[in-house]
Amino acid sequence: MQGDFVAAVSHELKTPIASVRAMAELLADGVADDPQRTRTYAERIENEMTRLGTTVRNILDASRVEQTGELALARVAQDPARLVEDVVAGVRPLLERRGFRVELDVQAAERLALLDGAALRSVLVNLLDNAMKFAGPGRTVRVVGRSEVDGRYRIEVVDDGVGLPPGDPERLFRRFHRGAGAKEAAIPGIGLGLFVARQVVEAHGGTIYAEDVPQGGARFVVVLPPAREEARA
Amino acid sequence: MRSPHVLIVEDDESLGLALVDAFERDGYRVDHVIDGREALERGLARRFDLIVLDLMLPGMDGYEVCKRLRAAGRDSPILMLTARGREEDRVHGLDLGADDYLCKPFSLRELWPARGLGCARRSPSRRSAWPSTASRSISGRASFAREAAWPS
Repeated sequence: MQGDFVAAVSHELKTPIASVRAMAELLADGVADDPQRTRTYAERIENEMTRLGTTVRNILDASRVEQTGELALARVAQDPARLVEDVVAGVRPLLERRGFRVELDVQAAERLALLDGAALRSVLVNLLDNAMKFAGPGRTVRVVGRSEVDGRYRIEVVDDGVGLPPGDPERLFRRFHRGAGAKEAAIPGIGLGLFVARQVVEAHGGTIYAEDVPQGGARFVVVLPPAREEARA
Repeated sequence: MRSPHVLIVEDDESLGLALVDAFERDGYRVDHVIDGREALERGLARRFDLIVLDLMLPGMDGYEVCKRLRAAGRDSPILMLTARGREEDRVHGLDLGADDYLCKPFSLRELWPARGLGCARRSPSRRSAWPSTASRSISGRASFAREAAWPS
């Protein structure tokens, strides 16, 4: 497991660095004189840096959890709906360039929640990233946000792909767990995204789980408590 | 004289694109595959003047592709690309018949032409289409294709 992890981390860090470096060299050599080519390279460099940023953040968060048992969060009261909209706006171009349809159906929260924006952002990015990796191109990713009757805010990331791998969905959240066949299929990842996502959501007093969509696809659900209720707890 | 024909085996979309562009800009013919089994089929079907082979691939890993090509007597020069940098991994690749080994993250300029061409020239077959002299244009780009007056 440890050897696999080191190999996966090496691959996940070094491959995007190699890509960015190669594309920067081509740009510097004036290969991409064509504006369309220049744009393609710039977009890809942006994608690779996003991917790299997520991987580095996951590694740092996971090692922080390992060392201290918890994540240090900086939380401010805010509308989780706004955060979801921001994240989707940020990654939508990336998803669409990769052939995904993105549907956003978010309603403003009835009550604010105490959130660490950066940490929750990375949770949502991880969920969207997983949808891209495991659902396959041409699929639709739907992000839904609603207040529940008890004031909690429920965020769903739903795809219409192949669904969850067989077995207990809870194991997806274990550290170093890789999706079924991910290694064989060379699907990028280091097995930390969902582990870190759970740590972050639970540190907010919330819950995160995965389930199959009966009509086909996977659904990841994040439920966050409202600010006041959480302050009392 | 025919233009050198290169096979790029890299499943990472962005790196694959950059590698293809790097060779195509110099007028070389490039095939690009993203799967180990497909790489093996291509490599068995014809000789390439250079195969740039990633190790971590879907279908079949790069070590296996290399091993099977050599076992089948195919002598296309192989330059392996990998994120693993440990000595034993490098030695393993060379043991399996790779001609050279480049660790990610590498410089594209190091890959091509420096290591790639060296790799092609060290190849035992001598049936390579690469020119015997190499120089670089003012811009720093490789300019073998033009010097040798090959179709680009």
